[in-house]
Amino acid sequence: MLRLAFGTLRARLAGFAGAFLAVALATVLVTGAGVMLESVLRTHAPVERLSGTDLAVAASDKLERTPAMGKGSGEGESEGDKLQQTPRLPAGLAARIAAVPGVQAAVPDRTVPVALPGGLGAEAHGWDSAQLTPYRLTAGTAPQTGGQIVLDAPTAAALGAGPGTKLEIGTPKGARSVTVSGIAEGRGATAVFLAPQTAAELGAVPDRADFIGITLAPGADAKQVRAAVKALLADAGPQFGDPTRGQPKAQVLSGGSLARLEAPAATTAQEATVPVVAVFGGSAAFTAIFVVAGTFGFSIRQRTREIGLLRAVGATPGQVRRMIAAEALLVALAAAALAVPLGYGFAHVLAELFDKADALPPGFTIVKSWLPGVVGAGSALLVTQIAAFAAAARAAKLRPTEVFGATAKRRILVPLLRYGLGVLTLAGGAALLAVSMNLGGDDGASSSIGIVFTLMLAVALLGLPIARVGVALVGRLVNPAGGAAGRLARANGAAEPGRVAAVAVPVALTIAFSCSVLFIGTTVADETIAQSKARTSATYVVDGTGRAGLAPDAVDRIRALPGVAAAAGTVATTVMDGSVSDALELDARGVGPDTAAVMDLGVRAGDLADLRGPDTVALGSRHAEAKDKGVGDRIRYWLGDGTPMEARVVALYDNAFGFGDYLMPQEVAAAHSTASGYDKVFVTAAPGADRAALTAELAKEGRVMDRAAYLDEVADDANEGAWANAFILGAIAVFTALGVVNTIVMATASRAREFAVLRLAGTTRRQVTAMLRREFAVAAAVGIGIGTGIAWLTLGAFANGITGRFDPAMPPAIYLPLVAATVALIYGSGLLAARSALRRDPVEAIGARD
Amino acid sequence: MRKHATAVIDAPAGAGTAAIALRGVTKVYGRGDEAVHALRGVDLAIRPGSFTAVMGPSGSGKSTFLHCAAGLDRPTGGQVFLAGTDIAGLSETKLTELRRTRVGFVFQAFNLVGSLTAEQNVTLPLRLAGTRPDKKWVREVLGRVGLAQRAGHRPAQLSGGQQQRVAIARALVTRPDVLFADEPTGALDTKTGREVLGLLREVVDTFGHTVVMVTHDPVAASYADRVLFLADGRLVDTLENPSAEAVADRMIHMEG
Repeated sequence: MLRLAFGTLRARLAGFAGAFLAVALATVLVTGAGVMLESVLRTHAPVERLSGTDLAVAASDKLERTPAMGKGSGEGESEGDKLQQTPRLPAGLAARIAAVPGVQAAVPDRTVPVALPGGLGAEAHGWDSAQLTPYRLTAGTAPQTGGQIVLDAPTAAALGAGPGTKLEIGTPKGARSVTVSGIAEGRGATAVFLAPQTAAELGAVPDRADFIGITLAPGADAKQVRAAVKALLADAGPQFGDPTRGQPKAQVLSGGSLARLEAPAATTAQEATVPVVAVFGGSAAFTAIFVVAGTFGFSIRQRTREIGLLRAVGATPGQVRRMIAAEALLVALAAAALAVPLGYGFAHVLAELFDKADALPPGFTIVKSWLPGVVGAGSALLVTQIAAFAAAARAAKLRPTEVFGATAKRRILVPLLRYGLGVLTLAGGAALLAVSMNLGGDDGASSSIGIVFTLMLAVALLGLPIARVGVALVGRLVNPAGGAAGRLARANGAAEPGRVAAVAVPVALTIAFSCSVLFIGTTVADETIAQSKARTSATYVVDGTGRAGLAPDAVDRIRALPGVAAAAGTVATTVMDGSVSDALELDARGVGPDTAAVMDLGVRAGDLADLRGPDTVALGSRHAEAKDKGVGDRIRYWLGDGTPMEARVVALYDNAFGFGDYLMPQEVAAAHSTASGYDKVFVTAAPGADRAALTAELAKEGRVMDRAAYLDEVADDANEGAWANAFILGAIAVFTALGVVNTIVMATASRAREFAVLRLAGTTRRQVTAMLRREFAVAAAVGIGIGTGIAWLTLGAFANGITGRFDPAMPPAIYLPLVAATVALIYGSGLLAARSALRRDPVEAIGARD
Repeated sequence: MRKHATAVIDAPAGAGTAAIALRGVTKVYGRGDEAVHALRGVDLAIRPGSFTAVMGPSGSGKSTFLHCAAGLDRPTGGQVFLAGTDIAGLSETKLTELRRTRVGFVFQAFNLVGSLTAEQNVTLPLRLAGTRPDKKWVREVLGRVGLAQRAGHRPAQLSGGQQQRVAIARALVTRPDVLFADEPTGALDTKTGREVLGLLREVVDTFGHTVVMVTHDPVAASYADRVLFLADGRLVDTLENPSAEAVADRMIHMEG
């Protein structure tokens, strides 16, 4: 059978070219995505500052179930989602660890962002942390008092400072004057050192450390020490943490895993990239099944006569199925052989795309192992076998008599299994839509993504009946009565709905996919921009990100400036909501007093002024509705560092999108976030204030933007985010578009004989072309209509999730060019294929054997 | 109403002695008001070593008869015995396997797989059956149809008559009980057609094969030992040792 398959393959290279191309493209995409995924997974920030650290004890960075929050029991299942904010642990633990035999030193390390003169930012640590690298003094002495600082050599050089130089530095707890006591040299990013006690005071929570770094005594056995430290941690239970709140478990880290302590932001970025790449690869594989199954099914359908002949001369249905499977295998192997190496190259293109979209973690380099190639080749085999199975199911059912063509009655084969699955999938899509609409909020928005994929699957399965209905609906519209070409086109569409479906289905997939991806992005961006506009009533915004942040005393200073009517700070953080196994990370803000005076949050109930004390929270009204909470109710969630929280709802506000669904007092946010202080201060100017003078004063605290500039920045960020995603997934849309071209060329080229009959019957080339144009118009209208419909439903459900209105936005400025490009693609490829088919002499063409 | 066909045809007494036997075979396409009765009860047994032509006007059920008799299609009612086996109880795979070894086919056109050479086309049924082709036998069969020199040619390199010869060789290669031919000369010019008919006559006379041929051409029918006439789904007449004129005469009467 394999020989037969090979024989037919060799002689039918042209017929298989389409399937081959589709499989090869899919393999390139999947292999490329695989290389990206592996590279991202293997990206680890280098360990530099902690290169002298043998072990470290840190709080687990995974969400944990605690007795207070737990549903069910079971220790083993407590591992949950990654925490977005650094969890801290009691600094006092260091003294107990230091007493473990074999431990030379145990240092409670804290990272304190400081602002140095000249707009420089740096991370400050206690001088005791210097031995973790180690940093060694090259001049001067170690810092002893709160007024002393040690700079690393590059910083000292940049500032032109040496021992004795006086500096003004900004810290999260306010500005202070320090004297350089010494210069040190070590490894890693810029670091400055304060007296240990001073670093502790400036840390977000004075008695807590980010982690405890351990160095071993010479000759100590790391394994034994590790075990002893673990035993100590298990024993430390009651003293470790706050029993009323519960605390994350402590872990012992060493080697490469220290990177997450040294550069938490890089680790978070890496982990954020993994799902993006995975979604890309998954979407590529998912669409590949459609495109490959489509082209494969089409190439099999064109061989009805040959398969009937084989059946007549003694091929059993099983042999036909095996032959098709064997052909698929050969196509897949050939395609993989070509496409896998290309896929490794394509990874570089993808990396470019991700880089442009700002979605690459720091330290990313492309890693090429054999694994993505195997996955790519494996998916080529799998996808073609699925496609072959679907195509063969129909082919094997062909009766041998069907070889006689017109003399035998053509049976209508209803693929019951396929249609059954199609109807089920359609029902699944409808159910998903209902669920998404019902859920609302973030859950509703994220579940709406499933709608597009489910409905795409349904369309692929039900392509033929959909095309039949579509032809009946739009056929008359596109081809009004009159004209031979129109009449022919209409007859063709009705007689061969399979041909219409072959074009309409990939068109629908392309449109549905690209519109959903694009317009989900623009919907988010538009809503962010609209709500930011509604929210921002401040005259100026002072931005402290990239520096030490804005200390609470900065807000007080700003408030005291002449011409300031009100000022309030905010800091971005996150909370987690849901269950341990399936927690949703949500944006949140820590806010200072007076927020209501600088920001119109659209408070619907309660009062933001009540947002005082550790156990209060204000909720976005849509989120509160989804959670069924009102003012005065208590709500449970996790703070960003995994601390379980139960807080009283003091206010509900409408303008939450792009800001955060949880507002908490700044002190709470600072104690449970990586960042401390404020990142922005919103300032409302008093009427008649001297704006120039005010701006100059504000500029001393941070980067100053007026309202318009701030909103422009919000809009730029939002649009950039929207396009970044679309940009990456655009590669998949291009792939489905190539699938469209592929099918059209195949379908048109195979009609040379039919065109010859028409030509001999007196149809001019121009009339044949006109007929084709009308046929394409019908197929395009059906495909674009269905694709748009799918995207419309998906976007509606998504919009309902984030705004509460079923309000699918498809900006014509993007949608219309997209549709125009699709139509151009269909016409261009189809008419080009037709021209080459029409170039042959009709008498010769009609005599050509299939 | 003419005499019932059974009276004039050899009674299908023993399916065992006949190469092919049909008993009360009916075939209905479609359902309800749109049902088409293609065969309305056909009884027939084909003697081994004979050449039978089946004739009838368009729509008389000739092709349906051939499909049912050859096991390509299943009858709605009645029984079909292929090599003594009732095909009704066979699965599609079992039926294919039986057909593969006991029945050969020659169609009007599109007989050959374009990507295979003449020899590969001839050995195709053997390969499908999983048996190793006996080279000597294959060469002999190709010799019988006069294509020993063309074994390596692809169908596109052969004339229409040569293609039909390859098809006949393929039909004979499994040493079938019966060779069915559906309008085998329909797509050929007169001279080539005559050559193909002569070849069919020869395989019956010289090698003892059994041939059943559907045709609408009285001249083609005249090559047979016996002509069966189908009309309206029934066997209505038979003619032994026919001449072209006699066949044409009957046909004119039937259509008139």
